[in-house]
Amino acid sequence: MDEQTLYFRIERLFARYCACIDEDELDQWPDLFTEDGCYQMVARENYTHGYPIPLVLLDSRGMMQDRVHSLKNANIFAAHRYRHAQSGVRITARDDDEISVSSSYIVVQTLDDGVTELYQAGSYYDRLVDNGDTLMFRERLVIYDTSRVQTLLATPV
Amino acid sequence: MQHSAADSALNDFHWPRGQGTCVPYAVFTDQAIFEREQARIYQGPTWHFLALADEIAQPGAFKSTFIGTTPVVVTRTRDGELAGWVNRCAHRGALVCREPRGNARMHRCVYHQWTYDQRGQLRGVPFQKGLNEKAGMPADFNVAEHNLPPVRVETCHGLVFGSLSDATPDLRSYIGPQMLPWVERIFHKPVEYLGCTRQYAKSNWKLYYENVKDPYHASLLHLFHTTFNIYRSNMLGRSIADSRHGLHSLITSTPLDDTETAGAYKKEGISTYEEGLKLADPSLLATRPEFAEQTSNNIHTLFPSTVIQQIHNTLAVRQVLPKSAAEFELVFHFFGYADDDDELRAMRLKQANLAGPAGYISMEDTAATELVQRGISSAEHGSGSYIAMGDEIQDQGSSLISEHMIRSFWDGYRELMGWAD
Repeated sequence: MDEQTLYFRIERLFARYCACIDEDELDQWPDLFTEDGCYQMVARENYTHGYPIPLVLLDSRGMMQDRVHSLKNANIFAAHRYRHAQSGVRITARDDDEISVSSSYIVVQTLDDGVTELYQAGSYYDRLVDNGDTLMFRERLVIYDTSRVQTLLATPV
Repeated sequence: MQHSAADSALNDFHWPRGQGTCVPYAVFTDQAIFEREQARIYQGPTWHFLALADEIAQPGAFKSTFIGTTPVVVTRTRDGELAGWVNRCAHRGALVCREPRGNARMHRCVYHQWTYDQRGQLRGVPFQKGLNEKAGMPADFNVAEHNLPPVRVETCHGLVFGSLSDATPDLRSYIGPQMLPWVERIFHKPVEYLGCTRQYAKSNWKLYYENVKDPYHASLLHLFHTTFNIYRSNMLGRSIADSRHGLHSLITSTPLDDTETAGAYKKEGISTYEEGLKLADPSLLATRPEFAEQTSNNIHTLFPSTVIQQIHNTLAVRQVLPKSAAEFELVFHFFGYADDDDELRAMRLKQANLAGPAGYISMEDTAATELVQRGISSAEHGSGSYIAMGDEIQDQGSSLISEHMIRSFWDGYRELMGWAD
């Protein structure tokens, strides 16, 4: 696959990812990961010093589905909507098995009172695999700069 | 201690009496009360969690943090001892240490390069003797008189605490004979720091302290376990307030068998009960017993800023940092034991999903405190809460449907604030 096509397919996956979260299609968010895929959020202050504690660690598609079910049925939090802005997509490694991609993101959050605030900034470090039709996440490691989480984090970033 | 006019007026602060405990909402919103707390509690005779000893294990390692709103640094000296100082240059008051953590032989204020050693003692002032025999500090200037204000530092089983007051008793006496065994239960062998997560709430710090002394809310606000049918009712519970002053407290729950109690909740008509939901991947709940009494929950407060948490295999020290009358930061310091095997360590990391700013059974807590703050911010003068659930004499500290620890907390708080009867 030429590099231009690969970038196009990566951008298409990322657009789908943002739509799942920003457009209230969270049910479909786990489907963007492989069955044994991993979604993990780690504060940059921990990542930099090599401390392993995650904010969120979902190391299977089942765990991601559980997160979605818990948010919809169990957890209590203010109604909110995210908007992602993602930039600086770079392919950092590529072999027959997987593609490593890094990028930056900003997420703003809007609450029911109509106020939009910058909620989080950080980096995505992704390992993608090609299942033939589409690219999928084998791993999305979210290293968030905004170590001070405002109130709580319910929805994945 | 300096007393402003606003503080003097608080000497006559009216605390209503009656059935249960009424907490006047002003204690969560009033700026003068916030400042009185900083003076009497945070700068007063109290100990504050600063770090796990493992965070600053190497000589020269330091961490900057806070006691209340006062910026402090705790550091390991080159001879292996611990030292603490207020992070405020003796010259013009700038922060000397600007990094959250690191390792340094000396600490230099960038503004005019006044330089301090690891114990906060002033070691150098640029141009102290002037330049070309002009200027310079006064002839009687003595560097030894301009050290950074020291912070008392003591350790207890790998926990590092600091105090700003000479009147504070030693740390073990402060924790006290009733609570110390519970600290020793968790810190019975060397621990390893695993990193921290931070949460910021637009609410008063005492609303959070009420929350961690309030087992009544646990199964009503946090619905993860009941929703997924993994809650067990047959629990041995403890709810203990320190009998000396009511300020420290302990909540534990220990499963006695595997009886599920979703049914009991359904009977009570709790609206959020969902039938039939199961975890697709229950690996989240894989736990390993590691205590003689395998508590599933151990929430242990050491007034005013420390909460030791054990939830299954997640271990953390939560540090409560007031920022203003209506804001506080909560820092979860996660740890494991130094001798954890890989499997147990992996369990601790995975169970971090349960407790923390994004935790399944904890994310609601700060939001609840914010709901209170929003509700009371415009409350009429003299109004307050109503806290009466449970009777500590009758239930002998074994009921988790109780608010007696909150009532004890406010008794101790009133004493410290000069509002006791």
